[in-house]
Amino acid sequence: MIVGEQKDLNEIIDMLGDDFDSLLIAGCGTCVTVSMAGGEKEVEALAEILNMHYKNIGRDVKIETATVKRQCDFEFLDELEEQVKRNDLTLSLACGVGVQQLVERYPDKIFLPGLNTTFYGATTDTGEWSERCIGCGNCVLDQYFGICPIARCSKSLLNGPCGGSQDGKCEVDPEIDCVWELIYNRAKKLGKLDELTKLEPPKDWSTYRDGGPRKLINEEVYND
Amino acid sequence: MAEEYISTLQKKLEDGHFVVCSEMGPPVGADPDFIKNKAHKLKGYVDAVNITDNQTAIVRMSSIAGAKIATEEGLEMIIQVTCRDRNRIGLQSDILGASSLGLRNALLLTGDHQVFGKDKGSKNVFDMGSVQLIQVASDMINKGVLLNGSEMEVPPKMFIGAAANPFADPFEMQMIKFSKKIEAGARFFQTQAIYNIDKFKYWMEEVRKLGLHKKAYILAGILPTRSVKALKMMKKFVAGMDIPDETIERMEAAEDRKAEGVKMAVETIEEVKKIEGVSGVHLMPVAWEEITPVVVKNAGLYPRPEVD
Amino acid sequence: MYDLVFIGDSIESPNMNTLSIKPELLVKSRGEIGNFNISYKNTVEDSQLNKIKTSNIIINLDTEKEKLIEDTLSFEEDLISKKDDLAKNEYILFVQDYLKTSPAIMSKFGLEKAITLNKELEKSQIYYFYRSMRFIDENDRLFEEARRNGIIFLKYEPEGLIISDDNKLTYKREDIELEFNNQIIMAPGIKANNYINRVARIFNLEMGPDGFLQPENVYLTPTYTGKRGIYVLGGSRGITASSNFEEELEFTLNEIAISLENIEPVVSDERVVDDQKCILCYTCYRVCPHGAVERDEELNSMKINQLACQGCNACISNCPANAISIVNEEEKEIKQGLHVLMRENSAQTSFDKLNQDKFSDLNVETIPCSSSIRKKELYTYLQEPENRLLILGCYEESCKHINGDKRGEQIVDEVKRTLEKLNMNKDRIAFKRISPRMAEDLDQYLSNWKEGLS
Repeated sequence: MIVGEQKDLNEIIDMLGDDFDSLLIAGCGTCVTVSMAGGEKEVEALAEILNMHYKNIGRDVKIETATVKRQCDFEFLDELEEQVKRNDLTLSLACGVGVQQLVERYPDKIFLPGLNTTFYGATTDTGEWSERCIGCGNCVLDQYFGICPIARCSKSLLNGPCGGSQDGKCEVDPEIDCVWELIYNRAKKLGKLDELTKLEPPKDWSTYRDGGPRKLINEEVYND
Repeated sequence: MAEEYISTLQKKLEDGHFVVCSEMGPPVGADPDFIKNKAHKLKGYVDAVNITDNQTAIVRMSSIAGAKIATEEGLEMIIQVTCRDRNRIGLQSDILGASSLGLRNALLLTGDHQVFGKDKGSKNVFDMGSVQLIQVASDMINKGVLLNGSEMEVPPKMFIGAAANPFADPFEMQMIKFSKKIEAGARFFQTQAIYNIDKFKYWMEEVRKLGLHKKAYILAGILPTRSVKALKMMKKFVAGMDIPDETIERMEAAEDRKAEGVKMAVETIEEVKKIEGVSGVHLMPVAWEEITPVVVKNAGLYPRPEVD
Repeated sequence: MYDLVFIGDSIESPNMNTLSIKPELLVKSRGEIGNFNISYKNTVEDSQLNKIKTSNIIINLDTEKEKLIEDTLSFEEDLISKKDDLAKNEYILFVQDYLKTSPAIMSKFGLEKAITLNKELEKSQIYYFYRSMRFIDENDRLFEEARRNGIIFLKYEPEGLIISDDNKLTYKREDIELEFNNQIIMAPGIKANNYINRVARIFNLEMGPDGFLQPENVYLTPTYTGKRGIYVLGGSRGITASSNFEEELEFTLNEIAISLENIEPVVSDERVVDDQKCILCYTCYRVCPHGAVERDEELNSMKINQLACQGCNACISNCPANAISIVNEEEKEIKQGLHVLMRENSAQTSFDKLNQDKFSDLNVETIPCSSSIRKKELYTYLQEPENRLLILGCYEESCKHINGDKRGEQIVDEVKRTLEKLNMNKDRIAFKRISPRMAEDLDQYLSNWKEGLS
């Protein structure tokens, strides 16, 4: 799912600024709830923290909270209408997608991002998420035994590790596994090491963002 | 392709000489004299000199520009090309440009990640990796075509090299990568600095088993050093370097560390010279470029042969 | 409906309807004490599942023994059948505690085997090398008998015994140095059963040290897992657990017998999941130390099993969707001043021994566990600038809810970080571990804390 992380508290406070008296904190009940960044629990805790802060600096601010199932489908945004309209500002704790959809739905209001949206990842441990996919638009997991070098190699190399792979870790950060070692180990286990001798030509990046922001239409369903 | 030699370095290798290469880093600035001074110090002692390409992601004068300046001072140069800073369009363009300026040797590398430099916030490119770059360059030179299939009226001329690491893991995977680079068209290799001679010998054995020493020239990497601190730093922080504890202890025990460093480098040269499949050495003295002539002399490799 | 199902080896349990299932054939387990639903196969290749119900489960997996050194014999082997070969040796060398201390039960086997072998081999001299001799059961009697029968015991320090690659044994102690090139019989290395991970995953159990199945915690001895109705016995628990097998088995069977008569919930208020809010992120399932959280297949939400629940509220505290609540929970009115949340039966017990007048100005509340504190609530306590909050949790490995103390501390640390970021005094919130027997320390600590001294 999409993984995000709450922005630094002081960054949020600076972003909110001095010009508002009422604030809505809007949460999202899907990806960012699972990644523990923007669900109802975080929304309510943040409201309480900001209340504590504004009280401490002597500012009179009214903070409301609301969490909808998703902020990337318009019907859910409709549920927020009253609250969005009666507050000066909305801080959205959804991913970057949700924030932008709010702007589209309510163009006369201001929406600020409370999260830094980061990557598509899996829950690798309770409270830990790791990047697995960058959405390159042309999945080649079949060629790499189900382990993606495009997302998980710091240099997106397709023909083997660089010279910086040390003790199974990436030169960029010793916490990062060298994905090529993982691919090699898996290939060896499956007895398919010879498949790694194939020369992989340069990737067509046009299916990725490099080809421009993307749109997807399902012909079966779409009606202009 | 033509039977004439693409570069003097290539000719020397094909004539069977034990070649000596060295390395220079361009300045963080635009002063051509910086290059000229370095070139003067190396002239006559080496067969070819690498000039690095934004090594460790630090902004420096471009490799091609530096190589051109040094060539005019009479040195045979090897440009280095990394994949970190340019996409396929830029890379092919650079190869064409380098060739047009008369540069004839290129070492094609993936490149250090920008996290090592001072521009950690920069976007990295890595549109291609080293293997793909070698293949692309090889096709440009041998087939006269660009990656997108366009034909060139005047294709570039370049003797292509790549890096090899006998000390990295997993061994089998690195060997696969090495073979792939040869298959893609690399004709000469410079290895990671050798401190563990036994491991290097083992790697060369495996290389010979696959007959790869006959398909490409292997130049043994030698890093003359005079500093215990440098050895310890490299052991700890540089990926893929194998520095045995005995080496560090030997340097620690030495009274004259400079002399010891030269001695150790010369010993390594003498050892690798005996190994079948090694066609030369690549000297890369970090922060000690002036020692190259001394090492070359002491190893009995001076003067260098002349070819036309 | 079975009374008791063994995962692993069956044990005779009078008056109980039992079944044993091999761990590799176990597929799934749902439910709670008194009503576990287990699926298992007849053979590994089978696709058909047998489904049974049971009130209780005992995990009884034997440890794996591994030979530490090639070409040696093991304490576990039938040495008597090899006696003719062994008789050719001038010396026979028994070795325990090599590289790692052998569990006490191994020294019992070693002594028994040495004594028996000694009787058979008249001409061979037996040496017995050990680092420490544990006197469990009748080991002291065996030890004495062995010495009386001429077995020579040599104690060694860690570096004092070396077995080379070609099985030469060198013994060094003070100024004695001996070298042997004879038959070595060693205590095997012991490690967890190969199926422990599988069983842990299926029952969602916390792992213990060394890959065994019982975390170190005073509340888990002797055979508890933290999940009511599921017990670990013998080799599943740990390396040394086999020593007290009989007593532990008896204890466990007694417990089970009692539960078969009657089981009541431990908590008086139900914890419930709002199926509209639940997004199946499995956080509650992962943090629950008591196996009380399960997927409700009909509602597509998680649910709480009321008999398994022990009311620690870790699920409520951690749920990112605020989907879990306590039935009939009253809204708290938070007064101004100093607040102390103390863990029931632990810090609470110590507090009850203190002079209550001395601390009458403190707002005191009881909490079931440090892990029950909710982040938002903590900030509510801290809204009033003069409010300070103290949470008194339990010591590590003395938490009834396994890691509750750590979870509580983590949340408090996060609040401290937030206070710091906002340039507020981070000591307005504190976490301290207080056991039921620390009344004096608590007195001192609370007095200081009241004054604002840390």
